[in-house]
Amino acid sequence: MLRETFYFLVAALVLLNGCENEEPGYPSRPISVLCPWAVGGGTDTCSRIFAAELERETGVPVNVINRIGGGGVTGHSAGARANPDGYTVLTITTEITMMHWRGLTDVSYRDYTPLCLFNRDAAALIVRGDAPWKNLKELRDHIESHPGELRASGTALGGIWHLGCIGALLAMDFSSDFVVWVPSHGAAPAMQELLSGGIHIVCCSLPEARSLLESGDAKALGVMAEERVAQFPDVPTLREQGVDWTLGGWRGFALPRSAPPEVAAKVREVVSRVAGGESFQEFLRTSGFGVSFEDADAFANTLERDDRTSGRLIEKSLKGPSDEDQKVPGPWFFPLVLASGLVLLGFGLASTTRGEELERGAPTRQGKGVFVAVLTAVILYVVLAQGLGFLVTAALILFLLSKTLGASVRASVILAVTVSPAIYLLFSKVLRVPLPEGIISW
Amino acid sequence: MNLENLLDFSNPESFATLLRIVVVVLVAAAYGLFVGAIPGLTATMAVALVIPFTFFLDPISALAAIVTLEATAIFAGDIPSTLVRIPGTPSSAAYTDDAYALTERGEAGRSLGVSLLFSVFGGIFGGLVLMMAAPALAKIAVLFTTYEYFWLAILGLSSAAIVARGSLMKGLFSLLLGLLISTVGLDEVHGLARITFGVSDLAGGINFIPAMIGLFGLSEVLRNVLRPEAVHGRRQSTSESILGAGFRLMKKRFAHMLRSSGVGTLIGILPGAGADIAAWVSFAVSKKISKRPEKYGKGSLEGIGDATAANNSALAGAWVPALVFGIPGDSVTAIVIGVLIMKGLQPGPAIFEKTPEILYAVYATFILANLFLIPLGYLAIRLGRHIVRVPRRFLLPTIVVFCVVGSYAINNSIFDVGLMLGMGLLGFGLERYGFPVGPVVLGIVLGPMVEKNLMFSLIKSGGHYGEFFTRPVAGVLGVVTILLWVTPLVIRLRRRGSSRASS
Repeated sequence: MLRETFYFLVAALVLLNGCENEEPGYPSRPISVLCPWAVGGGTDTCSRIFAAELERETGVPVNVINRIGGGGVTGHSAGARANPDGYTVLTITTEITMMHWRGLTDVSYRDYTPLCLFNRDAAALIVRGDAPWKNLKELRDHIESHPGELRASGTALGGIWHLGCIGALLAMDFSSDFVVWVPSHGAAPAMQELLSGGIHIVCCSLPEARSLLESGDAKALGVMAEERVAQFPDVPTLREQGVDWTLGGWRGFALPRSAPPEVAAKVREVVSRVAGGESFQEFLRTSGFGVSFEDADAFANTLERDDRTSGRLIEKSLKGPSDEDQKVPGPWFFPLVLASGLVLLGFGLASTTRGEELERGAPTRQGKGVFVAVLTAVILYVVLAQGLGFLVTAALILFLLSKTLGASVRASVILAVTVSPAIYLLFSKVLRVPLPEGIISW
Repeated sequence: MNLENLLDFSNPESFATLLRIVVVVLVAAAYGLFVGAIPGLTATMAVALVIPFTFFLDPISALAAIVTLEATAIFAGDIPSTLVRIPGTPSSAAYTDDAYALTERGEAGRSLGVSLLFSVFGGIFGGLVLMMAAPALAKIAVLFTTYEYFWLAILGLSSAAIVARGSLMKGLFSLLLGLLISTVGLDEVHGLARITFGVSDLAGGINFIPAMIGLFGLSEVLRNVLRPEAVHGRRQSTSESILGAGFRLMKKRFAHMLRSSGVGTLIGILPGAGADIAAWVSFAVSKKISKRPEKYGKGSLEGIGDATAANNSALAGAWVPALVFGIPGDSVTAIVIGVLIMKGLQPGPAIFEKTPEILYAVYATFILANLFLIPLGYLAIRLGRHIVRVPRRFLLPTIVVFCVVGSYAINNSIFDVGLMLGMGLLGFGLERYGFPVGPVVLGIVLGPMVEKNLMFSLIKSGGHYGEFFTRPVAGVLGVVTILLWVTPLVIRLRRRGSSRASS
């Protein structure tokens, strides 16, 4: 019985694997959309809806992968290094034009082949509903007479809304430290700070502040767009109020730069069709994302222009220590405090206890063997999974470990060829969380 | 349509709505249990995976699905946590050691039964609070600025010191280690990469999920294989009924259960503190006032119940600021806000007046989903409990593969698998010398919260520390925190003094 099952599974594996040998045009196998921001955020939501639309359009499964952290550095770097075969589509955001200026990464917009831009939201200056300033001029006068008094927030240091704030200050002929920037983890915590009176100004997009704008708890003094935003007709632009400054954050799709031109052309056609399609546009409109579509050429121009702007703003205002930096502990303050605490405690512990091991009973020789086998198994996975794929590597690990733990060869093989495909199916097919594909995939 | 209409079964339209909600809740509950029970896939992930579906669902069904997913996933996280010591979601980490200790004693069924029923109670409690007091409670969220969050984070850290079993020094060591690990990566305040050794994978910091899987799960595998054969046989589950133990404990500890659910809801309301922190704090409070604190960390059903009630009640709490201000209380409600807007419903005070039926559906689902959780969770426990009986030579390899996949899945990064391995070895080493791993995990969770809120506050105040005490809420929190740290030290010193005097 067991043997029959085994043969059946082997046959099934071979058959399923045999199904895809030729490449009949794009796309012929699953596509991944790589999102550089966390699950649940605006960029993630756009990527997921786009993935669903792309799947509907092409008929191949499309999964979203999040590579997060480092204010977008990790994901954008991973994107630039991704396989350029057209089956990894990258979602990229404005931050790509900023990070390299701040020395956070070498990756810049030049490392991508732009496909299309699908969203743009202009920055806006938002204050409390009961704030004493009725328009930009009054705020401007206040800043002029009280430089360095007001606090603003909206994103991390050097983030897009921070640049928007700096740009507006410079356009008003102020120095960038006339308003102190308080970093925050995104627009939502900044709005909360605004409500609780911790800060005076939030610089973020209008949709991000919509709830509080509508309830009257906050009011927008100006938006940094060319013309008024359709959904917020009452909010005047900065330009209308005599401040010549526009800036917005955008989202778009791209491939790694090394993608061959014929691959890029095919992907561009499909991705642009879906991203510019009625259904995706409808989603953007209803969800409050600023709808703005740019084809690959226009997107390339945008990248170049924004990169220059970011460079100018960052060079002018974020290089070198500001006054505020000296009042606040430096970046190594917290780690150093912790490290000293650890050293102190370590000494304290060393003097009171003599490294007693808690586990009683000496480990058996087999135990030590398995211990090493477990470590080897995980290392094997790290080394082999990208090349061999999950199915083969996991089967190998399962076999190796159960054999070391004393199972018979047959039982180990059965474990390997049942559990590995089961987990693969569970993640890749049922939950749609991609695993390394490698040499066998279906 | 209002609540009375919704429950008016003679009206065919509202009956259809109710029926639709029931179907959605059932499907979502099964899915949420499934995803939550898989290590590495969090409740947020469960919700994110259905975002594309919410696009096509009507608003009530979409919200019902989200509510159910998070409620069931957070409970389901307790299942692998109890059975194989891998927290299915971060919210289970606070009491993983207790639950697993019970499994080793053959009491997995009892432990999970308590988890289930206390989760259900916490979830319903949170739902009722949301229903009755959302607009009023939302004002609490506004009282909290970076100063208050700083103290809250420190208060959270104190819970590690309270929870630490055995040596306080060792617990503190673990905590500091976790905090130090949390500083790896890009520092958002100064925009500088720290302790990354130029590795771009480290710029994003130490990913919490693989770290947790390594520290708890893989380290346990490593410990287990070294154990001499005689100690291996985990006792079979006793035949005691799963729900019986839960019901008895609920009856005995009703007041504690209420308190824990209250604590959880309050923490949930605060944006920036969610179900995981709620579980830690509630567990610490439970131990602090318990008559048998020595059992905590070694299989305390009381601690498990109090913590699990808190993490489920926190879920509904997070909806409060999301609905009232459009400010998400946690990562799931961030998705909820997106879905609401997508459906043309702008969160804010107006949503309570203009579309109350949407809110009634949310309230109803919180209660319905948690009630459905009883039979479905019971089934899951019945099935899951058999894992313990799988022979070790098949179970351990499978656990290792799940550790690997779980740490890979969340970020699709092989680097994270290596990280998991490193953390597994670290956890193994720490536990071998009697250092608990729980505080390491807590340190990684709270580290950024402590540091950022300290720095943000100082930038706001222009480097002055005074505001940490002069703001009313901050002042109270600050004094409580300092007392909490100083009192035990004073007592300990005095006790040491008196014992020396008497000897």
